[in-house]
Amino acid sequence: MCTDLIYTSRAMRILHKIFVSLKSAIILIAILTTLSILGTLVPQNLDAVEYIRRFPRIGHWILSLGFDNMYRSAPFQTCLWLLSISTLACVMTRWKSTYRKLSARLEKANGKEIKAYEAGRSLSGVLNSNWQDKFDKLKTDENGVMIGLKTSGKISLFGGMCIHIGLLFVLAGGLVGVYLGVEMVVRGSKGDIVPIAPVAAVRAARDADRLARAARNIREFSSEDPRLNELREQIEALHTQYKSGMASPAFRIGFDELWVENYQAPDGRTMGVKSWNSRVRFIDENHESEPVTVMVNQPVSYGDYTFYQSSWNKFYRRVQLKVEFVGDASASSQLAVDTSVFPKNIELKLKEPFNSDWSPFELVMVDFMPDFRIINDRFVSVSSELNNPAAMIVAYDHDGNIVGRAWAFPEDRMSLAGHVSNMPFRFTFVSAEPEYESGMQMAHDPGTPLVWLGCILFTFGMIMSFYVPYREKWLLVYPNGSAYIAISGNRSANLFSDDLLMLEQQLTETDKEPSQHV
Amino acid sequence: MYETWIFGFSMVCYILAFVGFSANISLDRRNLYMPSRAVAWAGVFAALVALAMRWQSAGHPPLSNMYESLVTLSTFIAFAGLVFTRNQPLPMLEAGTCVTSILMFGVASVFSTDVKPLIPVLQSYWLHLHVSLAFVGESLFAIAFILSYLYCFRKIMTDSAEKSNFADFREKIACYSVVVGMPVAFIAGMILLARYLSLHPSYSERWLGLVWGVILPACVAMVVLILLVWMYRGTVHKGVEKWLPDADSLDKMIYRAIALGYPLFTVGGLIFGMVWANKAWGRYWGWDPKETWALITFLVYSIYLHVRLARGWNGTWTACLSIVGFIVTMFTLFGVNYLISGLHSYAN
Repeated sequence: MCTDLIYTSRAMRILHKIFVSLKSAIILIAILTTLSILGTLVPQNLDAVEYIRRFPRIGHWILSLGFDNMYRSAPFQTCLWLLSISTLACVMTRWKSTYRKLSARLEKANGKEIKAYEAGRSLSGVLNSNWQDKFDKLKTDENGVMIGLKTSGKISLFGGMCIHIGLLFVLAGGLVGVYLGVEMVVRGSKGDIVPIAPVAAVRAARDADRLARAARNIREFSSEDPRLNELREQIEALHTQYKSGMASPAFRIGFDELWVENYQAPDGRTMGVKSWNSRVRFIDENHESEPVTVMVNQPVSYGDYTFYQSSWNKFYRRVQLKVEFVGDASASSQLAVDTSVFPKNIELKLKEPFNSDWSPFELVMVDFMPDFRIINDRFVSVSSELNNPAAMIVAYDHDGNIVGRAWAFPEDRMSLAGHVSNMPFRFTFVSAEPEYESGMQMAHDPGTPLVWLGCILFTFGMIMSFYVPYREKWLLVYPNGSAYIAISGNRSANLFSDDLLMLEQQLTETDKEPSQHV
Repeated sequence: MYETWIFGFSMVCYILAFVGFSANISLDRRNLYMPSRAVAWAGVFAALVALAMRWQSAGHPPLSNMYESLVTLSTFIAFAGLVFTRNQPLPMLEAGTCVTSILMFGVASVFSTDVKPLIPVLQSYWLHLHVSLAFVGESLFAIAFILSYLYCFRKIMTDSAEKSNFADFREKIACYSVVVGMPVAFIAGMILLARYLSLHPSYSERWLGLVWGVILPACVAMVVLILLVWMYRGTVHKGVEKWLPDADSLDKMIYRAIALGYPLFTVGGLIFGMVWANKAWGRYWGWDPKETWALITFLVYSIYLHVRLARGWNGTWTACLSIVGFIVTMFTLFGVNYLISGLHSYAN
């Protein structure tokens, strides 16, 4: 029992020594620096197969060390925890030395220490009568040497501690954010009312996403891994929690109005987006807020969340088309269509069926691409501007079978459509009204106040440490009447030469009236 | 339009000032010092006027793209160099800040000078606070870098004269690596940048400007300087003895520059950046490459301050740390924008 205690206390002493040591702190900072560099060089949060494909030799290492999500990996988090402990140990050690300096600086000082200061010299003149007034405290040591001390800029002694306490707060706030904070994007178009789940439900969704990614990575290597079942159950439980949160949301957000402001050139051209704006309302069970405008750099808080305008999407839900009857298309051979009604203008809504008396088919615009391109054999839209609009229309019969497909392009590009249309109608793009979708980042981070407090402390600490000079002005008066002055502080000794000269003048100048010169 | 001419005038001033400072050192003409300083001040004022004109015409501070960032930083460096030496003449440092500003302006001229309206996320007063304060900090890091370079140069020159200046062989290697390696690293970096620009059609033939305007002159200047220093090493040694303070004083100056720059960079680059990110993106920290590299810069200088203040390190190794810190700073400014994509990619 006694031996155990001895071992424990020895281990504690060793641990204390390690954490108090500056060397450990520097090593930890150096490791964190290296890991941070790696985190920017290794692509983050890809699927496991991607790492194996991109880095065939070290992919397995990246995955097993967790470097695919570096800043949440065990090595990185461990370093952060160790640095926090080391900083705490440093604060405690500093507190002791600062307290000693503040409370008993003169009591602990001795002549030998003062004479060892780089900025110091013997007084050439004789001390004036009121020299004692120039010092805050005086004492006489065991050798009969009188020691005087005057200090200034004491606040700078707290600088180092403030910096380290600030860093601790920042780290604590960061850790609180990592474990309790949530982020999510809500999207909505004009008129939409989107439910916002309570924080616990969003946290469940976040955890489910993380587990799903882990499960995907495990499955890539072994689809029979027994951990998969356990993960699946956990994910399902978390999904259920999220769904129940969505079923009884904390509140709803109504998108009343979305608009974009553009820069205008003198000739009236638009020169890019100036601002994206969303006017929204927050609706909960018994209350509806006044409409508020959310803009980039102007977030709005409601309930547990803060909403930030983070993205903007322009899309086209309604497209105006001109329809003409073409008798020679394959699907038209057995149709009896009144050709006198053509050409006809229609409006199709994206993915909504359109029935008419002039067509035996149900038409659905399955896709609309405002800036149509064919890249690598795939149909894509390269922007949200109507540079090369293309609508894909599918025709269904009464049984829901596809009976024809057609593309609609602007009039001047309709020659393309002939190659991809097998309907008895020719569709020409006329116009499309843009609609906007606002993407708002919603965040809840209970660690943020701690981080700001830490930043404030850190800033004040730096100001105190680097910009407030701390001075200790010393005087030694020996029993034989000779005197020695010295200055120490948190600046290099060569900066004290002027102060030293001034102190000497103050201590040796006589109390005569200054002479008048004409 | 006019501001381009004024920037050009400012560069001419820096070149004249550099020539003046060099003549002051090499010909031992003390009376050239103050005129050279006056010319350098004229260059700084001209650049400040040009920046103000650009600000006025664009409606936002010139901090929103690579060209604007580089000309602003080059002005800040020249300004910081002159302020830093106001009480203690140090023509070698002043010449160094002139060269750094000229090179930065040379690199800046490769990028588009067009004034573009700010994207929504940049329309914030935090742009002024975050970027400008970070640049002031970085310009002081540049001063520390030049002083560290001069420190290593002085150590080598003193060593060649006294044969026993270095405490050990590793220190000697470190000093030679800095003095020879830094210009080589700069040229290698510029070649990489030219290669990157040549592969991107949007930069058209601008990379040729980098080759003819920066890389070739830098190579020629480097070779000529090495030859001159080698041929006249006795004279150079005397000049160094006369015009450079002793290694200890240089070391203290490096510390002073970093002690001034570190709080400004931390507050401007990191803390204000965090506040702005929280307002714009909904989180104060997202491990975006730019953020991470700013943190790495902060960590490197934190190591410098810890080893110097608490462990009492000084001399060659802390000078090397200061050099590493500035390389990281420059990578944060350039490398991250071109090699790693992230939320700060608009800075391209």
